Amino acid sequence: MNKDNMHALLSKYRFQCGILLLLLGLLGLFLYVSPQTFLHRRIYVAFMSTIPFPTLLALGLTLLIVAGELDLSFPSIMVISGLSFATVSQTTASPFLGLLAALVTGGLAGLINGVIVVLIGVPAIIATIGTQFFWRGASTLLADGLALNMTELRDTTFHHVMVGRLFDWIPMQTLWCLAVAVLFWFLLNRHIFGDDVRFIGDDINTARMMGIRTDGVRIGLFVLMGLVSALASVMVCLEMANWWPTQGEGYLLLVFAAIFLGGTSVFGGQGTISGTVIGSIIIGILEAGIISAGLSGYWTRLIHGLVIVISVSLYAMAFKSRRR
Amino acid sequence: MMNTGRSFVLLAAVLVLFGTNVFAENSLEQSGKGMKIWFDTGGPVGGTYNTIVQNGARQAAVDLGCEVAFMYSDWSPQKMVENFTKALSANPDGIVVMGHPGDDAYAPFIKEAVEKGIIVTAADTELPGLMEKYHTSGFGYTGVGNYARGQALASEAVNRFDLKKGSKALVWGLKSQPTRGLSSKALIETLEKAGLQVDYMEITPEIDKDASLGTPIITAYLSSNPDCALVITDHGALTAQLENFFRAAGIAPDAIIGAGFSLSPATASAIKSGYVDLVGDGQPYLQGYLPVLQIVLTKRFGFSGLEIETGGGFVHAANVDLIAPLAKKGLR
Repeated sequence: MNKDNMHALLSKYRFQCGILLLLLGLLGLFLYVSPQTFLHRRIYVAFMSTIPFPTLLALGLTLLIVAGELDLSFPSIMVISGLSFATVSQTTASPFLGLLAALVTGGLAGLINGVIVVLIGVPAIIATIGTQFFWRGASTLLADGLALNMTELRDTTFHHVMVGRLFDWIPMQTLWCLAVAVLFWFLLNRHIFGDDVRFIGDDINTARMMGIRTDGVRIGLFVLMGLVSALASVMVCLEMANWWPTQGEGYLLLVFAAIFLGGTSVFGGQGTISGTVIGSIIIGILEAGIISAGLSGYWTRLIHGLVIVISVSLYAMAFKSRRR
Repeated sequence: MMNTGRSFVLLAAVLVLFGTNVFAENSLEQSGKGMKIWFDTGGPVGGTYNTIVQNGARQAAVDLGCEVAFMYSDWSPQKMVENFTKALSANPDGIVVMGHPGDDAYAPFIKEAVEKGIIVTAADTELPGLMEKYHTSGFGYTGVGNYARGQALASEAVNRFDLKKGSKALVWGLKSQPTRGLSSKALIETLEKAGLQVDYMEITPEIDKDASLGTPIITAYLSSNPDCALVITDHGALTAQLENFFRAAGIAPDAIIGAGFSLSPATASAIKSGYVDLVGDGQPYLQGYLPVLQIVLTKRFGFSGLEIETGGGFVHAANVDLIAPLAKKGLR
């Protein structure tokens, strides 16, 4: 590869290179500050057992944001899908049927979002704030506000397949999450669906004139987000052996932070799957790094904020220079 | 004649007895009938702990015949004050507040409420200044004093598990919150007084809402501090997830003493599997039931505020089988 090609390649992938360097820099810093934690496999197992959940959600949301849409209801879609999973798997004694019920619930909730936004014409931010309240309320009402214990699923094959430990240490949810990330990468980069999503995000009117079925694609993205939320919820229920009515509430800001840290444009039309995955990992390891360095938890938010603001500012500067 | 006389007396006695009972029944009615009470449950809709509080208040409403409207504050002191002002504008007969915002934040609003004739009482977290001031107007407190509950759990853990001086302990709590934070403060101070070396971590707002996010944090702490002997979570939902946290961190059952507050089905299961060893039970059901009763009795009969301690001891492996079924029903 000659120098020009190398330069072009680096320029093309400068966002990904930048965020990867940030991740490596942080890991290096944590290794230096607290080697007793970051040289031990245990912390990485803990990361691999929890980071996949917000990452799955961030992957679904990345596609939506690239298309210029938004979904604030995914924490509530998680909770209603999780309730379907818990109830059906407990009444039928089949967690597989529970998974199907959760996916149907999540898909339907996503479809409802899509219909409200695309066919009725309510802006996504408003529509999904409404459905977020609706699904949270519905699940609390249906469960009578009580958590459901699911420890009986811990020894099932289903549990091992979904969130078990491969070779006794790799959490299965990491593999599922990677599979979804690869699938979404193909969708966004190697499939006509991805082109449609980008065109819609860039300029929906032009996309329409080009013959893209914009309504179908946008509704499809909301359904996909619903399905991903349901899958994440089932995994959280299995990992925690519990369903609880406030499940998912803590994910909202972290997921958005991961996506924007990963370089996805808030204006749509631009975003990468790899950026979102790395952004999720950075957000997922920050607090643990701060704690293991012996700093008080009070530092967490400050450093979260600092990393996000610096990163997105650098993106903005790079983006401006490109447009010049 | 004698027989007729006796029959007459007997008949008269039966009539008097019957009549008295009938009148007595007519004169008694549900004491809260027609009353409206606004109740801030403190937590989010469907939160593990405040749902039990709500269940207690709902039962009191049924038993006493009053209406109770519930509010939710996501454990945010600011939202609690906002909810109070909303309740105030509805002009109910009584308002139940959670004391987290503290005396100073509530003072002007509670003054306004008392002047309007609205009975205010506190649950879960005490408001000592306001209680002293409005005690005669029915301002009471039902709950476990935050400092007292922290102190009790820490002392019990030290004594029960024979923790030696110099042992390391982690307290994961909400020290930064006014009044509510006294519990974490007491945990730290009591453990330190017993000679333990205490580390403190503040629960972030994200983990406060969704305990599942706490796994890497506890793993990171335990990796950096492998000599930690005791972990106390000053948070019901985090206590419920201690088993998962320890599993993810590769900690075997009973390798580290796990303790916390509030019994839930998941906590009961963790006690049985050996990951949680001690749970302080503040009997939140009573913290819902008794404030409603307080307001009704004050409104109807002018009773002054009652101070009721609901701390009901501890749940551990020896008594969990008795209490766990009630936790499943949202009563304990």
